Amino acid sequence: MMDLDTLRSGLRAAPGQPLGAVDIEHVMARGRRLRVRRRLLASGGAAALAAAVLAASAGSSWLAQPRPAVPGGTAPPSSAAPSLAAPSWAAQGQDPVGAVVPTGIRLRGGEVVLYAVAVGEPSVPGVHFGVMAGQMDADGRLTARVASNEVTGSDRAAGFHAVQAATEVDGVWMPEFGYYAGPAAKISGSVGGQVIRARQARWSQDPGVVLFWFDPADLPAGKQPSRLSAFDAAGRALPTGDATAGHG
Amino acid sequence: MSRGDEEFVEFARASSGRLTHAAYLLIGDRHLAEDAAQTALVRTYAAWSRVRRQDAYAYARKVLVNHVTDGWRRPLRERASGEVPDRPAGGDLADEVAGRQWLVEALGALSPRERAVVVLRYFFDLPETAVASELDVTVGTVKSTNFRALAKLRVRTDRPVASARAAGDTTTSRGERP
Repeated sequence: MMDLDTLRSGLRAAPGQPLGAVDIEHVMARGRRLRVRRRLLASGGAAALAAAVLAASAGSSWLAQPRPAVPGGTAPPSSAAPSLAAPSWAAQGQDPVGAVVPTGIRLRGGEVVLYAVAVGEPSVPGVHFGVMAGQMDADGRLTARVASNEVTGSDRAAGFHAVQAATEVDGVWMPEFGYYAGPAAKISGSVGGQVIRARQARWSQDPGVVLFWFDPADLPAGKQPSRLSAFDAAGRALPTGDATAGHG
Repeated sequence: MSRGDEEFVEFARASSGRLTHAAYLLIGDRHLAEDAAQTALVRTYAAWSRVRRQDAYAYARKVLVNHVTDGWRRPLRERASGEVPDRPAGGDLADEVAGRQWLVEALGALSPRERAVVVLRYFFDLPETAVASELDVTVGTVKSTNFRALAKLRVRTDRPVASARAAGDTTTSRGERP
């Protein structure tokens, strides 16, 4: 038996090996990214309403797209799939900029979709857009869930950007997503040594930007991919950039 | 750098060591602990304009504990066996490397809530009411959880030893999922 004072002393004793120091600069960069996401989501309700109105006026035919085929059960669609013919919505910060991309992931509240949104954050002058993961219900109404954007340098520097780990928002698990700037024909991650291919679609506003996501159906239960890689059409490895998934 | 950022840097430098230490006690893995402390600071910075004039440390601590106890990405938590290893004989526990290692392993045998209560009560020295508030549970739950945790750790309290052992045995035999 030990007494409470001994327990307190034991808990407060320094670990045998020193713990690593926190990289405060990295903390602040991630914090800015999270802060931008929160700002975007703060006006998500208005965006949902605007999207609903626009969808109604544009008709719903552009909403209905089949889930992309997955040859062999694990290989995702190529970069040519699945992009929706977008209404010509102006960038309003929350409105989709370009096509809304269906992911084929259907959850409570509708299908998960990805779309670009405008970003105007003074602290990141080289960043003009980010990616929103939202949901579209049966009536074509968009609900913003979580947005992510680059937080340093240029939003179109070659490599991965704004990678957001799978996260729970309002009780709904949104998949890991992000975008790649460059001619990525194949994007993959690794789970326990197993290569998992991401699903992807080119951004209608700039074909040099590839939106991607990992369908939970392609992943071992509860696992998240790491070590993201991108390859061009010839199978050559492309620059990685910031492939670290943000959390929170 | 803005004044707010300067304040945050100062805050992070002053608090990161203690937060990382607490995360290590909560998780038992130094790399995951460093990640958890970093995540807590990221979220604190994201809310800095709101929390800088309040108790920023309490905010960061609460974020850290919630992040760890809610951690769906915490496979280590599933290793909790409910069986506390034998404590090394001899020496002063607080000073012995073996004792420190034993304590980390012993904490690993607790459920996440038990572990959180122990860390909040005896590392951060929070009163039971504050622990209840941080974990969003009742004070009664904190008391009973703390009692079970101390029994498992074989910590002597003012309660009869026989009762503590009985409570610990009962909890262990239920195979409580962490």
